[in-house]
Amino acid sequence: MSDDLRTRMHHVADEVTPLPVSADLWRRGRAARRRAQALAVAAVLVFLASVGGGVALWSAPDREARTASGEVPAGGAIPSRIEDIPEDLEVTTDLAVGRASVAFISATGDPVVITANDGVPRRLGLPGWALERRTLALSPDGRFLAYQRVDAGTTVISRLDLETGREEVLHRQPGEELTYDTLTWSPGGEWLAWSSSRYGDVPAVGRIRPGESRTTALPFTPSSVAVTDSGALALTSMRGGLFLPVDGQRGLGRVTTDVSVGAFAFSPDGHYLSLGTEPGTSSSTFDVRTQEVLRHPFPPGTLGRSAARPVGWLDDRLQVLVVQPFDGSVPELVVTTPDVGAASTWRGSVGSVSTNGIANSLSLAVDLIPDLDGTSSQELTHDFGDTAGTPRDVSWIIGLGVAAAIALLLGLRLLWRRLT
Amino acid sequence: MITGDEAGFDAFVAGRQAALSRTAYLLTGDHHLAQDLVQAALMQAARHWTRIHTSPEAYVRRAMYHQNISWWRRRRFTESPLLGHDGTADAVDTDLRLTLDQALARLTAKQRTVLVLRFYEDLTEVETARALDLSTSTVKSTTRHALARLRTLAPELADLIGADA
Repeated sequence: MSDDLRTRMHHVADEVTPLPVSADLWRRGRAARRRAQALAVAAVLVFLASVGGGVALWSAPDREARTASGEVPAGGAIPSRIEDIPEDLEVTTDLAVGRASVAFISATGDPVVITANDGVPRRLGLPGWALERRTLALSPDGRFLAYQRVDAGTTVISRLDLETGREEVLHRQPGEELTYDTLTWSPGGEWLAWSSSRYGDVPAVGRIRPGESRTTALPFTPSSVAVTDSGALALTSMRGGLFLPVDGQRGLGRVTTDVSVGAFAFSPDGHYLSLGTEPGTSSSTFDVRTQEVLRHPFPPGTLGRSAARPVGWLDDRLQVLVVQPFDGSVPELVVTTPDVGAASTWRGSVGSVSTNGIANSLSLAVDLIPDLDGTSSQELTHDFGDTAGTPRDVSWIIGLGVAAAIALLLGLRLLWRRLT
Repeated sequence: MITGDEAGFDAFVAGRQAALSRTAYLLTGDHHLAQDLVQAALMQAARHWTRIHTSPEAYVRRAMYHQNISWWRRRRFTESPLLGHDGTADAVDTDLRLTLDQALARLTAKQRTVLVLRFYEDLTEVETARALDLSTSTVKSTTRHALARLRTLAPELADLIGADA
Protein backbone atom coordinates (compact mmCIF):
# COMPACT_ATOMS: atom_id res chain seq x y z
CA MET A 1 0.00 0.00 0.00
CA SER A 2 0.70 3.50 0.30
CA ASP A 3 3.46 3.87 -2.20
CA ASP A 4 1.15 6.52 -3.57
CA LEU A 5 0.68 8.08 -0.18
CA ARG A 6 4.43 7.94 0.31
CA THR A 7 5.00 9.63 -3.02
CA ARG A 8 2.35 12.22 -2.35
CA MET A 9 3.83 13.07 1.03
CA HIS A 10 7.18 13.56 -0.65
CA HIS A 11 5.55 15.87 -3.17
CA VAL A 12 3.98 17.90 -0.38
CA ALA A 13 7.27 18.07 1.48
CA ASP A 14 9.29 18.92 -1.62
CA GLU A 15 7.27 22.08 -2.06
CA VAL A 16 8.30 23.38 1.35
CA THR A 17 11.01 25.98 1.10
CA PRO A 18 13.70 25.85 3.81
CA LEU A 19 12.30 27.59 6.87
CA PRO A 20 14.45 30.41 8.21
CA VAL A 21 16.02 29.83 11.59
CA SER A 22 17.41 32.39 13.97
CA ALA A 23 21.08 33.19 13.49
CA ASP A 24 21.82 33.15 17.21
CA LEU A 25 20.53 29.64 17.93
CA TRP A 26 23.98 28.49 18.95
CA ARG A 27 24.46 31.35 21.38
CA ARG A 28 20.99 30.86 22.88
CA GLY A 29 21.44 27.11 23.15
CA ARG A 30 24.77 27.42 24.91
CA ALA A 31 23.40 30.13 27.20
CA ALA A 32 20.52 27.82 28.09
CA ARG A 33 23.04 25.09 28.85
CA ARG A 34 25.00 27.37 31.15
CA ARG A 35 21.81 28.39 32.92
CA ALA A 36 20.83 24.76 33.34
CA GLN A 37 24.23 23.93 34.80
CA ALA A 38 24.00 26.86 37.20
CA LEU A 39 20.52 25.78 38.22
CA ALA A 40 21.73 22.25 38.77
CA VAL A 41 24.48 23.51 41.07
CA ALA A 42 21.97 25.70 42.88
CA ALA A 43 19.57 22.80 43.20
CA VAL A 44 22.25 20.62 44.77
CA LEU A 45 23.08 23.37 47.23
CA VAL A 46 19.41 23.92 48.03
CA PHE A 47 19.02 20.22 48.54
CA LEU A 48 21.95 20.08 50.92
CA ALA A 49 20.66 23.13 52.79
CA SER A 50 17.17 21.62 52.98
CA VAL A 51 18.48 18.33 54.31
CA GLY A 52 20.49 20.16 56.95
CA GLY A 53 17.54 22.35 57.84
CA GLY A 54 15.21 19.39 57.87
CA VAL A 55 17.42 17.58 60.36
CA ALA A 56 17.45 20.69 62.53
CA LEU A 57 13.68 20.99 62.24
CA TRP A 58 13.14 17.34 63.04
CA SER A 59 15.23 17.57 66.16
CA ALA A 60 13.47 20.72 67.39
CA PRO A 61 11.25 20.01 70.42
CA ASP A 62 8.39 22.35 69.40
CA ARG A 63 7.86 20.96 65.93
CA GLU A 64 4.09 20.70 66.28
CA ALA A 65 3.73 24.33 67.21
CA ARG A 66 4.93 25.46 63.81
CA THR A 67 1.90 24.26 61.87
CA ALA A 68 -0.93 26.68 62.44
CA SER A 69 -3.67 24.24 61.48
CA GLY A 70 -2.28 21.38 63.53
CA GLU A 71 -0.79 18.06 62.56
CA VAL A 72 -2.17 15.97 59.73
CA PRO A 73 -4.04 13.03 61.25
CA ALA A 74 -2.28 9.68 61.04
CA GLY A 75 -3.06 8.08 57.69
CA GLY A 76 -3.85 11.43 56.08
CA ALA A 77 -6.92 13.58 55.61
CA ILE A 78 -9.20 15.05 53.00
CA PRO A 79 -8.25 18.67 52.27
CA SER A 80 -10.77 21.29 53.35
CA ARG A 81 -10.37 23.05 50.00
CA ILE A 82 -10.37 20.95 46.84
CA GLU A 83 -9.13 23.06 43.97
CA ASP A 84 -8.27 22.51 40.35
CA ILE A 85 -4.61 22.21 39.43
CA PRO A 86 -2.60 24.91 37.66
CA GLU A 87 -2.34 24.22 33.93
CA ASP A 88 1.45 24.02 34.13
CA LEU A 89 1.54 21.50 36.98
CA GLU A 90 4.15 18.91 36.11
CA VAL A 91 2.97 15.41 35.22
CA THR A 92 3.82 12.79 37.85
CA THR A 93 5.16 9.71 36.10
CA ASP A 94 6.21 7.81 39.22
CA LEU A 95 2.75 6.61 40.17
CA ALA A 96 3.75 5.35 43.62
CA VAL A 97 2.59 8.62 45.17
CA GLY A 98 1.09 7.09 48.31
CA ARG A 99 -2.52 6.91 49.39
CA ALA A 100 -4.76 9.63 48.06
CA SER A 101 -7.63 11.44 49.72
CA VAL A 102 -9.24 12.86 46.59
CA ALA A 103 -9.36 12.05 42.89
CA PHE A 104 -10.93 14.12 40.15
CA ILE A 105 -10.57 15.09 36.51
CA SER A 106 -9.12 18.55 36.00
CA ALA A 107 -10.48 21.17 33.63
CA THR A 108 -7.70 20.15 31.26
CA GLY A 109 -9.02 16.57 31.25
CA ASP A 110 -6.16 15.13 33.29
CA PRO A 111 -6.46 12.62 36.14
CA VAL A 112 -5.58 14.25 39.45
CA VAL A 113 -5.14 12.81 42.93
CA ILE A 114 -4.41 14.69 46.14
CA THR A 115 -2.09 12.70 48.35
CA ALA A 116 -3.51 12.04 51.80
CA ASN A 117 -0.50 12.83 53.96
CA ASP A 118 0.50 16.18 52.49
CA GLY A 119 -2.53 17.46 50.57
CA VAL A 120 -0.44 17.93 47.44
CA PRO A 121 -2.26 17.68 44.08
CA ARG A 122 -0.60 15.48 41.49
CA ARG A 123 -1.37 15.31 37.79
CA LEU A 124 -0.93 11.60 37.09
CA GLY A 125 0.62 10.37 33.86
CA LEU A 126 -1.61 7.29 33.73
CA PRO A 127 -0.59 4.95 30.92
CA GLY A 128 -3.18 4.98 28.15
CA TRP A 129 -5.32 7.75 29.69
CA ALA A 130 -7.42 9.25 26.93
CA LEU A 131 -9.69 12.27 26.88
CA GLU A 132 -12.56 10.29 25.41
CA ARG A 133 -12.37 7.75 28.26
CA ARG A 134 -12.44 10.06 31.23
CA THR A 135 -13.68 7.88 34.07
CA LEU A 136 -11.93 7.19 37.33
CA ALA A 137 -12.80 6.17 40.89
CA LEU A 138 -10.74 6.29 44.08
CA SER A 139 -11.28 3.44 46.51
CA PRO A 140 -12.76 4.35 49.92
CA ASP A 141 -9.40 3.75 51.62
CA GLY A 142 -7.54 5.88 49.07
CA ARG A 143 -5.16 3.15 48.01
CA PHE A 144 -6.49 2.20 44.60
CA LEU A 145 -7.44 4.27 41.60
CA ALA A 146 -9.61 2.57 38.99
CA TYR A 147 -9.69 3.84 35.42
CA GLN A 148 -10.14 2.57 31.86
CA ARG A 149 -7.84 2.49 28.88
CA VAL A 150 -7.25 0.72 25.60
CA ASP A 151 -4.55 -1.92 25.54
CA ALA A 152 -3.63 -3.76 22.33
CA GLY A 153 -7.11 -3.77 20.84
CA THR A 154 -8.96 -4.42 24.08
CA THR A 155 -10.63 -2.06 26.50
CA VAL A 156 -9.53 -2.70 30.05
CA ILE A 157 -10.42 -1.53 33.52
CA SER A 158 -7.25 -1.13 35.52
CA ARG A 159 -6.61 -0.76 39.21
CA LEU A 160 -3.57 1.33 40.10
CA ASP A 161 -2.04 0.75 43.52
CA LEU A 162 -1.01 4.25 44.57
CA GLU A 163 1.35 2.91 47.22
CA THR A 164 3.41 0.70 44.92
CA GLY A 165 2.65 2.29 41.54
CA ARG A 166 1.77 -1.17 40.20
CA GLU A 167 -1.21 -1.60 37.93
CA GLU A 168 -3.51 -4.60 37.71
CA VAL A 169 -5.98 -5.22 34.89
CA LEU A 170 -9.28 -6.23 36.48
CA HIS A 171 -11.41 -6.57 33.38
CA ARG A 172 -10.63 -6.95 29.71
CA GLN A 173 -13.05 -6.79 26.81
CA PRO A 174 -12.04 -7.11 23.13
CA GLY A 175 -12.61 -4.03 21.00
CA GLU A 176 -11.76 -0.37 21.27
CA GLU A 177 -15.25 1.03 20.66
CA LEU A 178 -16.47 0.09 24.13
CA THR A 179 -16.44 2.75 26.83
CA TYR A 180 -17.28 2.49 30.49
CA ASP A 181 -19.49 5.40 31.54
CA THR A 182 -19.19 4.98 35.30
CA LEU A 183 -16.90 3.20 37.74
CA THR A 184 -17.96 2.86 41.40
CA TRP A 185 -16.44 1.12 44.41
CA SER A 186 -18.47 -0.76 46.98
CA PRO A 187 -18.46 0.89 50.45
CA GLY A 188 -15.59 -1.26 51.70
CA GLY A 189 -13.72 -1.37 48.40
CA GLU A 190 -14.39 -5.09 47.91
CA TRP A 191 -15.96 -4.69 44.48
CA LEU A 192 -15.74 -2.28 41.60
CA ALA A 193 -18.93 -1.80 39.57
CA TRP A 194 -19.12 -0.41 36.06
CA SER A 195 -21.79 0.63 33.61
CA SER A 196 -21.57 0.95 29.87
CA SER A 197 -24.06 2.26 27.37
CA ARG A 198 -22.26 0.37 24.62
CA TYR A 199 -20.81 -2.96 25.64
CA GLY A 200 -20.57 -4.77 22.35
CA ASP A 201 -24.08 -4.45 20.93
CA VAL A 202 -25.99 -3.84 24.15
CA PRO A 203 -25.86 -1.72 27.31
CA ALA A 204 -24.49 -3.56 30.32
CA VAL A 205 -23.37 -3.31 33.93
CA GLY A 206 -20.92 -5.44 35.81
CA ARG A 207 -18.99 -6.02 39.00
CA ILE A 208 -15.35 -6.99 39.25
CA ARG A 209 -12.65 -7.74 41.74
CA PRO A 210 -9.29 -9.45 41.26
CA GLY A 211 -9.95 -12.81 39.63
CA GLU A 212 -13.71 -12.45 39.50
CA SER A 213 -16.03 -10.70 37.10
CA ARG A 214 -19.74 -10.76 36.30
CA THR A 215 -21.47 -8.90 33.48
CA THR A 216 -25.20 -8.30 33.06
CA ALA A 217 -26.60 -7.22 29.69
CA LEU A 218 -29.49 -4.75 29.84
CA PRO A 219 -32.46 -3.89 27.62
CA PHE A 220 -32.05 -0.18 28.47
CA THR A 221 -29.22 2.28 28.97
CA PRO A 222 -27.93 2.59 32.54
CA SER A 223 -26.98 5.98 33.95
CA SER A 224 -25.34 4.78 37.13
CA VAL A 225 -24.52 1.66 39.07
CA ALA A 226 -23.73 0.75 42.67
CA VAL A 227 -22.58 -2.40 44.39
CA THR A 228 -22.62 -3.64 47.97
CA ASP A 229 -19.63 -5.26 49.65
CA SER A 230 -21.40 -8.61 49.20
CA GLY A 231 -21.51 -8.00 45.42
CA ALA A 232 -25.19 -7.11 44.93
CA LEU A 233 -25.65 -4.72 42.04
CA ALA A 234 -28.20 -1.95 41.69
CA LEU A 235 -28.56 0.52 38.87
CA THR A 236 -30.47 3.47 37.55
CA SER A 237 -31.75 4.00 34.04
CA MET A 238 -31.34 7.10 31.93
CA ARG A 239 -35.01 7.83 32.62
CA GLY A 240 -34.39 7.96 36.36
CA GLY A 241 -35.71 4.50 37.22
CA LEU A 242 -34.15 2.65 40.15
CA PHE A 243 -33.49 -1.10 39.86
CA LEU A 244 -32.57 -3.22 42.88
CA PRO A 245 -31.81 -6.90 43.46
CA VAL A 246 -34.92 -8.97 44.07
CA ASP A 247 -34.78 -11.29 47.08
CA GLY A 248 -34.29 -14.90 46.08
CA GLN A 249 -33.84 -14.12 42.41
CA ARG A 250 -30.86 -13.32 40.23
CA GLY A 251 -32.47 -10.45 38.38
CA LEU A 252 -33.18 -6.84 39.20
CA GLY A 253 -36.57 -5.34 39.84
CA ARG A 254 -37.72 -1.78 39.28
CA VAL A 255 -38.59 0.17 42.40
CA THR A 256 -41.20 2.87 42.23
CA THR A 257 -40.06 6.12 43.78
CA ASP A 258 -41.31 9.69 43.56
CA VAL A 259 -37.85 10.99 42.65
CA SER A 260 -35.74 10.76 39.53
CA VAL A 261 -32.53 9.14 40.65
CA GLY A 262 -29.09 9.94 39.27
CA ALA A 263 -25.89 8.62 40.82
CA PHE A 264 -26.23 6.72 44.08
CA ALA A 265 -24.24 4.77 46.65
CA PHE A 266 -24.95 1.89 49.03
CA SER A 267 -24.41 2.24 52.78
CA PRO A 268 -21.90 -0.28 54.21
CA ASP A 269 -24.70 -2.52 55.55
CA GLY A 270 -26.60 -2.28 52.26
CA HIS A 271 -29.74 -0.96 53.96
CA TYR A 272 -29.66 2.52 52.46
CA LEU A 273 -28.96 4.09 49.10
CA SER A 274 -27.69 7.64 49.11
CA LEU A 275 -29.39 9.23 46.10
CA GLY A 276 -28.27 11.87 43.68
CA THR A 277 -31.43 13.69 42.72
CA GLU A 278 -32.82 16.65 40.84
CA PRO A 279 -32.16 20.11 42.32
CA GLY A 280 -34.05 20.64 45.58
CA THR A 281 -33.71 21.73 49.17
CA SER A 282 -33.13 18.37 50.81
CA SER A 283 -31.01 15.26 50.43
CA SER A 284 -32.71 11.97 49.58
CA THR A 285 -31.95 8.45 50.73
CA PHE A 286 -33.70 5.24 49.77
CA ASP A 287 -34.44 2.77 52.57
CA VAL A 288 -34.02 -0.63 50.95
CA ARG A 289 -35.99 -2.43 53.67
CA THR A 290 -39.08 -0.22 53.71
CA GLN A 291 -38.75 0.82 50.04
CA GLU A 292 -39.26 4.45 51.04
CA VAL A 293 -37.43 7.60 50.07
CA LEU A 294 -36.25 9.46 53.20
CA ARG A 295 -35.52 13.16 53.06
CA HIS A 296 -33.29 15.37 55.15
CA PRO A 297 -34.08 19.05 54.43
CA PHE A 298 -31.17 21.46 54.38
CA PRO A 299 -31.34 23.38 57.70
CA PRO A 300 -32.64 26.97 57.48
CA GLY A 301 -29.94 29.48 56.64
CA THR A 302 -27.63 26.93 55.04
CA LEU A 303 -28.11 25.79 51.47
CA GLY A 304 -30.70 26.94 48.97
CA ARG A 305 -31.87 25.01 45.96
CA SER A 306 -29.03 22.62 45.17
CA ALA A 307 -28.17 19.39 43.42
CA ALA A 308 -26.66 16.68 45.59
CA ARG A 309 -24.39 13.85 44.49
CA PRO A 310 -23.39 11.05 46.88
CA VAL A 311 -19.67 10.33 47.25
CA GLY A 312 -19.76 7.70 50.00
CA TRP A 313 -20.69 6.75 53.55
CA LEU A 314 -18.78 7.30 56.81
CA ASP A 315 -20.71 4.53 58.53
CA ASP A 316 -24.12 2.88 58.28
CA ARG A 317 -25.98 6.14 58.95
CA LEU A 318 -23.77 9.02 57.82
CA GLN A 319 -23.41 9.77 54.15
CA VAL A 320 -21.14 12.27 52.39
CA LEU A 321 -22.60 14.39 49.61
CA VAL A 322 -21.13 16.96 47.30
CA VAL A 323 -23.80 19.65 47.04
CA GLN A 324 -23.82 22.07 44.13
CA PRO A 325 -25.89 25.22 44.93
CA PHE A 326 -27.78 26.84 42.10
CA ASP A 327 -27.04 30.35 43.35
CA GLY A 328 -23.53 30.17 41.90
CA SER A 329 -21.68 29.61 45.17
CA VAL A 330 -19.01 26.94 45.22
CA PRO A 331 -19.96 23.28 45.75
CA GLU A 332 -19.43 21.98 49.25
CA LEU A 333 -19.16 18.69 51.09
CA VAL A 334 -22.00 17.80 53.45
CA VAL A 335 -22.24 14.96 55.98
CA THR A 336 -25.79 13.98 56.86
CA THR A 337 -28.06 11.24 58.14
CA PRO A 338 -30.87 9.95 55.88
CA ASP A 339 -33.62 11.79 57.72
CA VAL A 340 -34.37 14.11 60.63
CA GLY A 341 -34.74 12.51 64.03
CA ALA A 342 -33.54 12.52 67.60
CA ALA A 343 -30.07 11.34 66.60
CA SER A 344 -29.83 13.01 63.22
CA THR A 345 -26.80 14.92 62.01
CA TRP A 346 -26.29 17.56 59.36
CA ARG A 347 -22.84 19.09 58.90
CA GLY A 348 -22.43 21.58 56.08
CA SER A 349 -19.28 23.15 54.67
CA VAL A 350 -17.18 20.16 55.64
CA GLY A 351 -15.05 21.06 52.65
CA SER A 352 -15.30 23.20 49.55
CA VAL A 353 -14.86 22.21 45.92
CA SER A 354 -13.70 24.98 43.62
CA THR A 355 -15.70 24.15 40.48
CA ASN A 356 -18.74 22.15 39.39
CA GLY A 357 -16.50 20.37 36.89
CA ILE A 358 -14.44 18.90 39.71
CA ALA A 359 -17.55 18.15 41.76
CA ASN A 360 -18.99 16.09 38.91
CA SER A 361 -15.94 13.81 38.74
CA LEU A 362 -15.05 13.91 42.43
CA SER A 363 -14.24 10.72 44.26
CA LEU A 364 -13.21 10.71 47.93
CA ALA A 365 -11.39 8.32 50.24
CA VAL A 366 -14.23 8.58 52.76
CA ASP A 367 -12.39 6.31 55.21
CA LEU A 368 -10.16 9.30 55.98
CA ILE A 369 -13.02 11.30 57.49
CA PRO A 370 -12.90 10.75 61.27
CA ASP A 371 -15.79 9.42 63.32
CA LEU A 372 -17.95 12.23 64.63
CA ASP A 373 -17.31 13.11 68.27
CA GLY A 374 -20.63 14.88 68.77
CA THR A 375 -19.30 18.43 68.72
CA SER A 376 -20.04 20.87 65.94
CA SER A 377 -16.50 22.27 65.95
CA GLN A 378 -14.76 19.01 65.06
CA GLU A 379 -12.71 19.26 61.86
CA LEU A 380 -13.64 16.50 59.43
CA THR A 381 -11.21 17.73 56.80
CA HIS A 382 -7.78 19.30 57.10
CA ASP A 383 -6.40 22.67 56.05
CA PHE A 384 -3.11 21.81 54.39
CA GLY A 385 -2.40 25.46 53.58
CA ASP A 386 -0.88 26.40 50.25
CA THR A 387 0.00 23.06 48.75
CA ALA A 388 0.43 24.38 45.23
CA GLY A 389 3.72 25.97 46.21
CA THR A 390 6.37 25.10 48.76
CA PRO A 391 5.25 23.37 51.93
CA ARG A 392 4.73 26.07 54.54
CA ASP A 393 6.80 24.72 57.37
CA VAL A 394 10.02 24.33 55.33
CA SER A 395 9.75 27.39 53.15
CA TRP A 396 12.13 29.39 55.30
CA ILE A 397 14.72 26.63 55.00
CA ILE A 398 14.45 26.61 51.25
CA GLY A 399 14.61 30.39 51.20
CA LEU A 400 17.80 30.28 53.21
CA GLY A 401 19.16 27.57 50.93
CA VAL A 402 18.44 29.61 47.82
CA ALA A 403 20.06 32.66 49.37
CA ALA A 404 23.10 30.61 50.31
CA ALA A 405 23.28 29.16 46.81
CA ILE A 406 23.08 32.58 45.19
CA ALA A 407 25.77 33.90 47.53
CA LEU A 408 27.98 30.94 46.73
CA LEU A 409 27.47 31.33 42.99
CA LEU A 410 28.27 35.03 43.18
CA GLY A 411 31.39 34.18 45.17
CA LEU A 412 32.45 31.58 42.62
CA ARG A 413 31.85 34.06 39.80
CA LEU A 414 33.98 36.64 41.53
CA LEU A 415 36.71 34.09 42.12
CA TRP A 416 36.54 32.99 38.48
CA ARG A 417 36.93 36.57 37.28
CA ARG A 418 39.94 37.10 39.46
CA LEU A 419 41.58 33.93 38.24
CA THR A 420 40.99 34.62 34.52
CA MET B 1 35.27 34.04 18.26
CA ILE B 2 33.77 31.07 16.47
CA THR B 3 34.75 27.76 18.04
CA GLY B 4 35.06 24.43 16.27
CA ASP B 5 31.81 23.29 17.86
CA GLU B 6 29.95 26.36 16.67
CA ALA B 7 31.32 25.95 13.18
CA GLY B 8 30.22 22.32 13.20
CA PHE B 9 26.74 23.32 14.38
CA ASP B 10 26.48 26.02 11.71
CA ALA B 11 27.54 23.55 9.04
CA PHE B 12 24.97 21.05 10.23
CA VAL B 13 22.20 23.66 10.18
CA ALA B 14 23.18 24.88 6.73
CA GLY B 15 23.31 21.35 5.35
CA ARG B 16 20.18 19.90 6.90
CA GLN B 17 17.89 22.91 7.31
CA ALA B 18 15.88 22.13 4.20
CA ALA B 19 15.32 18.47 5.06
CA LEU B 20 14.37 19.30 8.63
CA SER B 21 11.97 21.96 7.37
CA ARG B 22 10.21 19.44 5.16
CA THR B 23 9.74 16.97 7.99
CA ALA B 24 8.64 19.70 10.39
CA TYR B 25 6.04 20.92 7.92
CA LEU B 26 4.61 17.44 7.50
CA LEU B 27 4.54 16.98 11.27
CA THR B 28 2.72 20.23 11.99
CA GLY B 29 0.91 21.14 8.77
CA ASP B 30 1.70 24.79 9.36
CA HIS B 31 4.71 26.85 8.26
CA HIS B 32 4.93 28.91 11.42
CA LEU B 33 4.64 25.93 13.73
CA ALA B 34 7.14 24.06 11.59
CA GLN B 35 9.60 26.92 11.91
CA ASP B 36 9.12 26.96 15.70
CA LEU B 37 9.59 23.21 15.80
CA VAL B 38 12.84 23.29 13.84
CA GLN B 39 14.20 26.13 15.95
CA ALA B 40 13.28 24.45 19.23
CA ALA B 41 14.93 21.21 18.16
CA LEU B 42 18.07 22.97 16.91
CA MET B 43 18.34 24.92 20.13
CA GLN B 44 18.19 21.70 22.08
CA ALA B 45 20.89 20.33 19.82
CA ALA B 46 23.06 23.37 20.53
CA ARG B 47 22.61 22.78 24.25
CA HIS B 48 23.82 19.22 24.02
CA TRP B 49 26.16 19.59 21.06
CA THR B 50 29.27 18.21 22.74
CA ARG B 51 27.39 14.99 23.42
CA ILE B 52 25.61 14.60 20.10
CA HIS B 53 27.91 16.23 17.56
CA THR B 54 28.89 12.89 16.00
CA SER B 55 25.29 12.19 14.89
CA PRO B 56 23.22 15.30 15.44
CA GLU B 57 20.50 14.59 12.89
CA ALA B 58 19.03 11.64 14.70
CA TYR B 59 18.90 13.70 17.89
CA VAL B 60 17.27 16.69 16.22
CA ARG B 61 14.65 14.58 14.48
CA ARG B 62 13.80 12.75 17.65
CA ALA B 63 13.51 16.09 19.45
CA MET B 64 11.13 17.30 16.75
CA TYR B 65 8.89 14.25 17.00
CA HIS B 66 8.60 14.47 20.77
CA GLN B 67 8.31 18.24 20.89
CA ASN B 68 5.48 18.19 18.38
CA ILE B 69 3.46 15.67 20.37
CA SER B 70 4.27 17.46 23.60
CA TRP B 71 3.06 20.80 22.25
CA TRP B 72 -0.15 19.23 21.09
CA ARG B 73 -0.73 17.57 24.45
CA ARG B 74 -0.14 20.77 26.32
CA ARG B 75 -2.57 22.58 24.07
CA ARG B 76 -0.41 25.61 23.78
CA PHE B 77 -1.84 26.10 20.39
CA THR B 78 -4.82 24.87 18.45
CA GLU B 79 -4.31 23.14 15.17
CA SER B 80 -6.19 24.52 12.21
CA PRO B 81 -6.58 23.26 8.68
CA LEU B 82 -4.07 24.67 6.26
CA LEU B 83 -5.61 27.15 3.88
CA GLY B 84 -3.93 27.95 0.59
CA HIS B 85 -0.18 28.04 0.98
CA ASP B 86 2.09 28.09 -2.01
CA GLY B 87 0.25 27.33 -5.22
CA THR B 88 3.01 26.59 -7.69
CA ALA B 89 1.71 23.19 -8.76
CA ASP B 90 -0.90 22.70 -11.43
CA ALA B 91 -4.58 22.93 -10.54
CA VAL B 92 -5.39 19.23 -10.18
CA ASP B 93 -2.28 18.51 -8.17
CA THR B 94 -2.92 21.48 -5.90
CA ASP B 95 -6.42 20.26 -5.14
CA LEU B 96 -5.09 16.87 -4.18
CA ARG B 97 -2.22 18.29 -2.17
CA LEU B 98 -4.54 20.57 -0.23
CA THR B 99 -6.83 17.65 0.47
CA LEU B 100 -3.96 15.63 1.84
CA ASP B 101 -2.75 18.60 3.91
CA GLN B 102 -6.19 19.22 5.30
CA ALA B 103 -6.77 15.57 6.08
CA LEU B 104 -3.40 15.29 7.84
CA ALA B 105 -4.23 18.39 9.86
CA ARG B 106 -7.33 16.66 11.23
CA LEU B 107 -5.28 13.84 12.73
CA THR B 108 -3.83 13.96 16.22
CA ALA B 109 -0.17 14.91 16.49
CA LYS B 110 0.66 11.35 17.45
CA GLN B 111 -1.15 9.90 14.45
CA ARG B 112 0.42 12.43 12.09
CA THR B 113 3.88 11.84 13.53
CA VAL B 114 3.56 8.09 13.10
CA LEU B 115 2.43 8.47 9.48
CA VAL B 116 5.29 10.85 8.70
CA LEU B 117 7.82 8.49 10.19
CA ARG B 118 6.40 5.45 8.43
CA PHE B 119 5.63 6.88 5.00
CA TYR B 120 7.86 9.93 4.64
CA GLU B 121 10.91 8.98 6.69
CA ASP B 122 10.48 5.35 5.58
CA LEU B 123 11.13 3.97 9.04
CA THR B 124 10.01 0.46 9.90
CA GLU B 125 7.47 -0.11 12.63
CA VAL B 126 10.23 -1.11 15.01
CA GLU B 127 12.30 1.97 14.19
CA THR B 128 9.25 4.21 14.55
CA ALA B 129 8.43 2.68 17.91
CA ARG B 130 12.00 3.24 19.07
CA ALA B 131 12.03 6.86 17.86
CA LEU B 132 8.78 7.69 19.66
CA ASP B 133 9.29 5.56 22.77
CA LEU B 134 6.19 3.55 21.93
CA SER B 135 5.53 -0.14 21.62
CA THR B 136 5.45 -1.69 18.16
CA SER B 137 1.81 -2.65 18.66
CA THR B 138 0.94 0.96 19.45
CA VAL B 139 2.66 2.07 16.26
CA LYS B 140 0.70 -0.54 14.33
CA SER B 141 -2.64 0.43 15.80
CA THR B 142 -1.93 4.15 15.51
CA THR B 143 -1.01 3.70 11.85
CA ARG B 144 -4.15 1.70 11.24
CA HIS B 145 -6.36 4.26 12.94
CA ALA B 146 -4.67 7.19 11.22
CA LEU B 147 -5.11 5.66 7.77
CA ALA B 148 -8.70 4.77 8.52
CA ARG B 149 -9.34 8.32 9.63
CA LEU B 150 -7.70 9.65 6.49
CA ARG B 151 -9.99 7.48 4.43
CA THR B 152 -12.99 8.81 6.34
CA LEU B 153 -11.94 12.43 6.18
CA ALA B 154 -10.92 12.39 2.56
CA PRO B 155 -12.58 9.60 0.56
CA GLU B 156 -10.92 11.01 -2.54
CA LEU B 157 -7.61 9.88 -1.06
CA ALA B 158 -8.70 6.26 -0.82
CA ASP B 159 -6.75 5.37 -3.94
CA LEU B 160 -3.61 6.78 -2.39
CA ILE B 161 -4.08 5.06 0.92
CA GLY B 162 -5.34 1.69 -0.15
CA ALA B 163 -8.25 -0.25 1.26
CA ASP B 164 -6.22 -2.68 3.31
CA ALA B 165 -3.86 -0.19 4.86
